[in-house]
Amino acid sequence: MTLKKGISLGRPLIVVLVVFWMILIVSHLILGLSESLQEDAVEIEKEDLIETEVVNPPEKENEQEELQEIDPEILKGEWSEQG
Amino acid sequence: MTTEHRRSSSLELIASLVFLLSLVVAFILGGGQKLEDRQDIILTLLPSTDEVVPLLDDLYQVEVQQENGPEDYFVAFASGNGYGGPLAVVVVIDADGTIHQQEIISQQETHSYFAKVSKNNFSEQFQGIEPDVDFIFATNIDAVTGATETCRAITEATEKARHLALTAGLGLERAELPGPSIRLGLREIAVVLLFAMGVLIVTAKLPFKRQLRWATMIAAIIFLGFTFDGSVNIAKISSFLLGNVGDWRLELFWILLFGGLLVSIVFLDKNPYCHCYCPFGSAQECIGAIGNARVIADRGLRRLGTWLKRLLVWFTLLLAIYFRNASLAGYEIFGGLFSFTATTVQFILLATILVASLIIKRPWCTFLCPIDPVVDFLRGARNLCVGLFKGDVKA
Repeated sequence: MTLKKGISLGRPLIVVLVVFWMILIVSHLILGLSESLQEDAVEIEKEDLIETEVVNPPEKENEQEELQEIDPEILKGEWSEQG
Repeated sequence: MTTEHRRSSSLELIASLVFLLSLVVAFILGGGQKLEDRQDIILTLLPSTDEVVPLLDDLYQVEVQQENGPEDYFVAFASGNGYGGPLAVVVVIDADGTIHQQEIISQQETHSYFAKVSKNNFSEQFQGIEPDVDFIFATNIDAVTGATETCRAITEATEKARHLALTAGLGLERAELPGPSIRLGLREIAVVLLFAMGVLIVTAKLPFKRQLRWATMIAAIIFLGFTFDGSVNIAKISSFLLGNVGDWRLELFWILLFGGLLVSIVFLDKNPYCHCYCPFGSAQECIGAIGNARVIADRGLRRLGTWLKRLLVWFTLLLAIYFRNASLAGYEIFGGLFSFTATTVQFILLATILVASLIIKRPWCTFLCPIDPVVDFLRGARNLCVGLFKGDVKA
């Protein structure tokens, strides 16, 4: 394919410009990735939570009456003590 | 077909197969969808929790030890679909139905948009809202300029979670939340009109084609660019590939934008989007007209650009699919120009691209745009299918 118009800029200058852009893009991607991984790595502090009790869904009748509107099937729940 | 052309076609076919195969491998090897540990989230939000009772899949009743004795809270989870991907929120309401806390617990939103929302403390305005106050987006819930889609998604998810907590938790009678209504407004009309103009320009023989193309490009800059900030972008493509399709009624704009491009490729083997109504391409061309920019004549450089773009798309899609996070793929700089939303690195990139546009015609499109390789891939697949159907493979 022959192009009628050409630019006067030298090939090396354009290559340098493109390399510069590529460096910017790659650093943007790496920064985004590292931020995303850092967010994932943040651990939740649990020091004050030792006393916390997690219970299974209520099964007693009186407790079920309090939650009449909720489907008993759902109350059987999927909650595990490990979370 | 010359030997060089045949060799090039074979190389592209092999590259396409490697590209597809690597995406599948990245999907298989990549981390599965990280399920947030809801127990930990509840304990983090309410550290003095005594007891957690799951009521529904997304709703928990929590007893918290306070100075005056135990108090009950309801914690509900919900999600919404933002600009680049889904956002999940948790809402804590007290026994009166007032929002005690609202937090975003996970998100795959485009980084610059989410950073803008976080910086402006958008979520803080939900705290203390009483049960009888409805959320009316852009009225009593103020959006952050330049990140409207993100704010809308957070608001919808928060409303959904609060509704669940109020009705199933506190047992209050409330009208059902209205289902999503079809979002058909000016931006959807604009994209249809621009698509129609684009198709007309690339297919029909018109007397004022050049002028019409310039008018379409300027309209695209004004409407698709500055007014609605909507461009075909790789983050959205990654999001689709990861299955974050959202509700079609809310995503109509994107369906029309991407659908128009797809329909043009499949049925016309043309790409009116890049040629006529890509807002960023049009902006570069307008700047180029000022500086009398020229196309790159060097075939070697053009070829370098083609393969650089393909490499970038391959790399970004691998990242997004492996980490199951569409926002990782987004490196485009459109937001920086049209909504002044970008990272510092993106702003530097944008500034140099705009300056280069004065002398090089569409430098972004020539060397860096990820949409071009996607279009090439689709056209290649289309031509392969057509060839197979006709019994004459031209790839």
